Amino acid sequence: MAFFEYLFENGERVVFEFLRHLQIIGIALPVAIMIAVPIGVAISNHPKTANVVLYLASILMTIPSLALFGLMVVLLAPFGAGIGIPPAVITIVVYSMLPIIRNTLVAIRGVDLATVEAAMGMGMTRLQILFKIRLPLAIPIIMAGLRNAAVMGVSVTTIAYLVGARGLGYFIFSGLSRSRLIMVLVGAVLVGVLGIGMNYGLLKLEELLTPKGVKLSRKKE
Amino acid sequence: MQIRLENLTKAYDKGAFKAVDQLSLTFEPQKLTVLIGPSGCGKTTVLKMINRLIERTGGDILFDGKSIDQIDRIQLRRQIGYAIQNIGLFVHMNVFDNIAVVPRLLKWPEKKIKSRVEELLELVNLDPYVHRYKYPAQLSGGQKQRVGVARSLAADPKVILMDEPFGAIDPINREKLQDAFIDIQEKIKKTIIFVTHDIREAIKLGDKIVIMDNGRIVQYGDTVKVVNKPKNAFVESLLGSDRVLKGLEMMRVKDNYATDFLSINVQESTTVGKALEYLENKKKPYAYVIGQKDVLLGYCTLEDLRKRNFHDELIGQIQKIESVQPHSNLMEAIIKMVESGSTSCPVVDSELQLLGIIRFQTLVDIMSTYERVEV
Repeated sequence: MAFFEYLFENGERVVFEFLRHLQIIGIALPVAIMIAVPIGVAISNHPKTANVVLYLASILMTIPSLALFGLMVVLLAPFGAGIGIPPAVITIVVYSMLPIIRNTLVAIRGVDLATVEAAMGMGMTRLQILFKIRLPLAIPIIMAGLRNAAVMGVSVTTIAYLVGARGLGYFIFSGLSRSRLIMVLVGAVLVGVLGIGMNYGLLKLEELLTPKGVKLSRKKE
Repeated sequence: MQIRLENLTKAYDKGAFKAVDQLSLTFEPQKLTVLIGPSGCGKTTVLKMINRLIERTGGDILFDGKSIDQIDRIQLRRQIGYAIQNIGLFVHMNVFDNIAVVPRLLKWPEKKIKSRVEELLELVNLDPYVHRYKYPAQLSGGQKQRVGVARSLAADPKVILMDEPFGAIDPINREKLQDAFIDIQEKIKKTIIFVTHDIREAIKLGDKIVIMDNGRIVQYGDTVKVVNKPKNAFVESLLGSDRVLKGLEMMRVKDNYATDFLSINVQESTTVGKALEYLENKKKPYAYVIGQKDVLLGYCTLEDLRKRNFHDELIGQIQKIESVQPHSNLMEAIIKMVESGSTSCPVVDSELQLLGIIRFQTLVDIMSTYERVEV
């Protein structure tokens, strides 16, 4: 009961932090897509470069988020953006690189060779093959990578509270420092709800974007 | 369009291995030429060099005398139909969009594309209203292959390249598709270059056959001539020991039946007595029995009729017989003869009217003209 009591008493605050959390991810993901998908496409033809890029991206992922935030604060300070939303967004973008690049790469490479050869033989240019054949067929797998990144983003954003980005991390960290367990609980539950909701929403989006023929052929398998 | 290969060569590993070696050949316009040979003989390489999916390393390919180098690669491909073994249909596009790919690349008006797609679906025996908005996943293997063929014809190319287009289909449907394809080619008369490793398919479909081995041509000529006169032991072994029978498969009944058969019309000779008299006069052991409008009812034999009463009605003495139609091949005629234990087989049209007779002796005569190569 205390849970809901807290929730209602601090309704305004809860809504604000929830939306802020969403806002950070909402800015970061499109940026991540715009960087990672083209990289994934570009390296799909060059196996050696692809290995190097994937290696680098996985190194980025091993950096603890707290360390990365610390680094951002130092690096961004000269531009007056050391605290607040910018370091949070950049960190999420960095973490999103591996899942999105990797899935794009796998999806583009995974397109049936006979299909690509048919497209070439019919006189499609490289760009036409990319946009009319490879990308539409790759959507489900790229979207899976995006969901991966989004869920991770939800948890990373929680920690971004520590660099002044606010968000649902407020309830958890303030709760801890004040020994108010109910606050921590509210924060944790909301982060969980957001993560699950995000995953579900993107799943629906994936359904919407995946061409009907691809869905039918997957069902058949 | 005439396509000429001049000393066409494809070398790999700096010339250490030649997939295609100094190959010269002219493909005849409006004919279906089959390239056949063991795997690795270079047949698919030749095909892919023609639409530049593989770049040649020597020689030239001429389209109506114009070198392939003077033609833009993308434009060239849009003017050549292409169908491949695994069909390569785009699973995210419906049947309509799949067929419309090349016309759209060529920027045809959408109205023209629509009527073209309908026309093509009808040509390959798919109902446009049932199938055009279906996705490849909703089609059977045979239907997909038909769409693949329709797609290769979409922009009305003069030349079509086909790389084992019926390879991935079960034998029964393959047979049907081949028959349908023969009819289609009879209508559209395209220059088709067809790669296969199935000699039966080659003999059945090809106007001309190119037999290849190690990147070179072993024999090139009209299919009938190649089957009749294999140039050497390699060609003969490729054709197989039953090449004579395969040869029968490509010959049609309509070109080989005789019309000197004996028939009795039940409307004129209504009794056994009349029929007997007729047979004895003609000194023949049997005759076909026909009814109204010359429709074949069966046959009767002298031997059987003699056991009957003179006044019995003839219609009760008719024995059933299997028949073939003019578009059937001679192999089917032999099978019918074996099934009915007879040495001849009547030929009827689609209304069952008796047209003629195929005799076993005729088939033997045809087969004995085939030459044998000493091994």
